[in-house]
This record gives sequence, structure tokens and C-alpha cells, in this order.
Amino acid sequence: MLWPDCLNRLKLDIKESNVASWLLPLHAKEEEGTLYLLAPNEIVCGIVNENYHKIIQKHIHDITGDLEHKVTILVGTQVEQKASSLQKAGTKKISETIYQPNIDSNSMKKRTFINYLNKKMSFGNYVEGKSNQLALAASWHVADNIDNDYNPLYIYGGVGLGKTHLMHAIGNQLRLQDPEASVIYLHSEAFVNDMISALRTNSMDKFKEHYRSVDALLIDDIQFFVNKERSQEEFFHTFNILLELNKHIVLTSDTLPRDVKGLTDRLRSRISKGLSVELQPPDLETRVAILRKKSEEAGLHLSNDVAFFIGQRFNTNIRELEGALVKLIATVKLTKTSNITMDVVKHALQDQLISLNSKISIDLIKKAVADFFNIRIADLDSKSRKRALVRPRQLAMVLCKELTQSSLPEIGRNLGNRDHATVIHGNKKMTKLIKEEKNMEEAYRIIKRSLTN
Amino acid sequence: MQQSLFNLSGDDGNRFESYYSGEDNRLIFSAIKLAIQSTDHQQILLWGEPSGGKTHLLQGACYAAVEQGAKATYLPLKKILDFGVSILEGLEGYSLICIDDIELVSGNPSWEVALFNLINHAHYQQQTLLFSSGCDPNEKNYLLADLKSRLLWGMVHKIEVLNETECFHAFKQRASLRGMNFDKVLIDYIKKRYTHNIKELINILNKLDEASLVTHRVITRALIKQVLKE
Repeated sequence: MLWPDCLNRLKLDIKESNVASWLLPLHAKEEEGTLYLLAPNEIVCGIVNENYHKIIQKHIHDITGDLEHKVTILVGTQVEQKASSLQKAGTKKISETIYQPNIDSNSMKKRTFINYLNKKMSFGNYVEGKSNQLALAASWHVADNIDNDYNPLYIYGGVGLGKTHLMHAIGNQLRLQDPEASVIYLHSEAFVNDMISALRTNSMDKFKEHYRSVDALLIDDIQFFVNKERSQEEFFHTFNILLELNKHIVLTSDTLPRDVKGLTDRLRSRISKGLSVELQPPDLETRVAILRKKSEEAGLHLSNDVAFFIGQRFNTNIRELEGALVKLIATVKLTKTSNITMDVVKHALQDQLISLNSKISIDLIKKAVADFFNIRIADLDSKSRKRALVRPRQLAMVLCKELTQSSLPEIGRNLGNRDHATVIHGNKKMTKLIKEEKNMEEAYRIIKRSLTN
Repeated sequence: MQQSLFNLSGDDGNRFESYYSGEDNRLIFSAIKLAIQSTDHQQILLWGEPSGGKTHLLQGACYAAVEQGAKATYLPLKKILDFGVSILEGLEGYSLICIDDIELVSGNPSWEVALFNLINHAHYQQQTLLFSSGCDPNEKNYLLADLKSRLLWGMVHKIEVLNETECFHAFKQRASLRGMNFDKVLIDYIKKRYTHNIKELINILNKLDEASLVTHRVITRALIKQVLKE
């Protein structure tokens, strides 16, 4: 209780944002008359040593009544190793997470790997649709471990479309079939960092042995290898050895191997020899199916109306769709709402819906207005002052002002290069007309609904 | 002298107990409290104008997590950006990581990658992430599209600034945590003459708290007038 007591006293002396940033993250360990405070990294350690060591020491003396009680601030997040023995060894670090493959040279199967697999990402909760059919089938093929035709399997596509989920699913399935299989999932940056760490600690041999002895190596976002030639070189050799040993390699990226810039030619060529499958943005039916699946997992039922309402709006990637659902689920649970109506959804997701509305562009508005009045977009830009064109143009000005973040000069520029005074005038005139004329009010309402819904 | 007075004044800082959510932020406040108790990965991004209480919630979450025996850290990017990304090292064992003003990493390649990696690691290490942003994350452009999509992965919530009535409720709540009582007359007095911004109101409270302790006087209109005139 020494450190919590000390922390309580420090809160009175030190600005609380500083307490939160520098002192709360410290992990305390008391041993043989010394309070060891473990900082997560050198920076925090340095700042605490420089700015707060004296005052911490003072409070520790006050609390313990022992002027000999020491305070030592070190880098470290684990306390398995005896602090005292490390101190005697003269190191400043009490413990650090270094690359430790934990290799048992007698048996590969007995090796303990940190696989970083997220058990929540399985084939069971991956929703199949037209956009991911091929990638899913290829992933199952790899995970079933029947043969190794598709090696490496290269999954590519835009952000938030489920590449990482498929990778974890493959890894989890391989482990399900053989719990002792050494499967490693990691982001390409982590591979690079591990290599740098190995170089720094002079343990490249261990690094190589570690990665070259796995049953499956799953590396996410290989576009981050770009221009890291040493990492690519190391990965290339690992890659070749694993292929020769008929081990699985699964890679993801945002684009086809040939389009990944900064990849060495020979690595690109090796990768291209496997199977490349694309993940496309999910269609509406798939998005709705994802919503249903996720909401069922959370014990909630979404009606058709609600699922389609959300699915139609969050249409760019699955992470945004899931983010919206997470918020809806939290709102429903916290408010103990039993019936998820459209009003409940609109209220829960109001911020996101407003943000989506702000994605409406001037061009989109021009198209909607032109379609409604059955005129050409070019007519909106024209100099013509015919009433049949002036009114739609002014209505477009009103909608641009309401639904976009664009400035008045910007709106004017996009509507036939008009100046901002014209936009102000048009806005004023049309706002009045919308209030006075039923036809204009109806046009305004219908176009706005088509844009925001 | 100042130091000892500061020690005597009430310590109601940025804690959950001293946070007044108002009606609009009530649900997200509950969601944050649940998130820090969860052992699963959670990610919440709060955004909104200044004075909404985002920093209060992030720091409050850190204090609450530490009180529950968890390891937590609060990283205000305004202050730590210049230290470089290595300040994010060694956070593997932390169950709660709070990062204030994440929009500041926008356009900074090394910070964007570091934050991207942090989110990835947090996912498979079941850590809870609590972010704040001064602007709508949907509107903010990042060099890494993957970072933006990951920021939008969890719960994204706009923190609303308290309205005038709520500001004074918050003021009264903070005062009562310090054992100070402001009746309707005193509240109306402040309302008529001084700011209705919550940050400024808390500053007023701090001044009155200190003056009351120094002068051994209870809070009266005369004391308010005297202190705030200074």
C-alpha cells in the first residue's frame, strides 16, 4: 500500500494531468527497503526521475518514517525477475520485453509461440457474400490444410473489408485442427520491429530460427514493408524456406502484388506465384447479414427496416458499420430499450448520421436537383436566367449551404462560377419561396430526403 | 503558503465522481464506466468542442482503472508529441490506454503508424482504448486510411457541451464535493454577473474555495464580489 498512499499525497502537490500522464502508469514493486517504480519506457522513466523523484522520495520518507527507504525508478513492465539481482548486475532495466522465441530444440511441436491470434475472429462469425466469396473459399482451403496449392495466399482489398478477420480465421482454424501447430499472426510492422530488436540485441539467429520454424506465417498489410529493404530481404529468405517446407504463408495488402510500390522485384515475383484474391466492398445484402449476425451475437434482434436503414447508410467499409452497431448496442443496453425502432436508431447514431450527411458533395446535390427537375447538370451551371433554370439553381444553392461544409464562394464557383453575392441572393430568395410556395417546398423536401436518406 | 492552502482545498479533480454528464452525455459516461471494467477489448472515441469534458473523462477513467488495480496510462498528445513515438513503448501490460487529442497525429507519418500499431495490438491483447478528438473523426484526414477506419471501429461519440442549466448543476455538484454549499441566491448572483462556461465556473469555484479557507469565511455574495473583483 506504500505506493498508493504516496500517490494520494502526490496528487495534492502535482497537477493532476501530470499525475495521470507520468505517475499513474508506474508499476510499484517493493523489495528490501527499496520502492521500485517501473516505467513503461525510457521517456516516462526519464521524466519521472528528473521531475518527481525528489518529491516521491520525500513522501516515502514521511510515510515510512524511514530515511533509509530508497526509491528507484526504472524501465520495466514485468516483475518476474528479481529487481535486486538485476541491480547487482548493473543494469538499469528491471525487465524488458525482448524477443524470446522460447525454443525447445528437441521438438518443433513443443515450441511455445505467441501467436497473437484473436480468437474472436473465426470463420464462424465471418459473413459470406458475393464480395468475399472467393477469398473466403481460398481461406477455408488453406485452413483445412488438405494441400498447399495456394501458397502464399495473398488477400487484398481496401480498408475495413475483413482481410485481417480472414487471416485470424485461418490461424484459428489451423490451431483448432492441431492445437500444437505453431501459427504466427503479425502485422508487417511488428515483423520489422522484431527484426530491429533482434539486430539490436544481436540475436538474429534466434529471430531467423523462430520465423523459419513455424507451421503458418500470417503477415498483415505487407505494403508496410515498402522501402524497408533489409526487412524485405529477411522476409524473402523466411518466405522461401517456409515454401520449401510446404508451410502456409498468408499475406494481406491493400492492392495487387504488382501494384505494391517499393516491394523488391524478387519478393513481388515470389508472392505472385501464389493465389491472389480480392475482397470487395460488401453489397447491401452482405452488410445487412453482417449487422444481423453481430447483433444476434450481442443478443439483440434488428428488424428488417432497421438493419436496412443502417446497412444503406454505412456502406463504405465494415469497420464503420460495426462501429455504428457497437454504439447502437451500447445505447440499447444502457437505456434498457426493448424495442429497437427507427427512432431509437436515429437517436443513437445521430452523430454518425450527421457526419455521413456532411459527406454529401456539391456534385451530388447538382445531380439530384437536375434529376428532379429533369434538366441537365450543365443547365445549372449555365448563364441562362430562364425561370425554369433559375429556381433549380437557387434550390441547389440552398441545399449546398445546408448539407455541405462548403463556403459561399466555393458553392458559387461550382455553380457556373458565380460570385458569393449571387449565392447569398439565391439562398435568400429560395428560402422565401420554400416557405411560400407549396411546389418549391415539396421539391426541397423530396430532394433533401433523397440526399440524406 | 500557497502550497499549503492548495493542500487543504478539496480534491475533487478529474474523477468520475466529479464529472457531471448532463442529459446528452449520460449514456456515454455509463458506457465508459462499463468499458474500464470489461476484460475484453473496448474502444471508445469521444469527440467534440473544448469544455465538453473529454479530458476529464479520460483522466477519470485512468484514475478509476488504477483504483481497481488495473494498469492505466493517460497520454495527452499536445504534451507528448515532441517526445516521439517511443513514448508508446512498453504499454503491452496496460489494460487501459487513454490518448487525448488524437487528431494531432494527422499528417505525421511516424505517429500515424505508431497509433495504427497500438490499435492493432490492443485488439489482440484485449486492452481498452479511450481516445479523444477535438474534431469529428469522420471529417479528419489521415495519411493512413487504415488508421482512420480503425479509429472508427469502436464506439464513436460526440460529447456535447453542457447547457447553462447543466453548467450550474455541475458547479453545485463540484462545490458540494468540497463541502461547499451554494444556495439559489448565490447561484443566481453568479449567474447574473459571471461566465456560464463550465471551465470558468470551476475556476471561480477554485478561487472561492481558496478564499474561504484563507479568510475562514463562509461563501456569501460579499465574498464572491470581493474575490472575483480581484
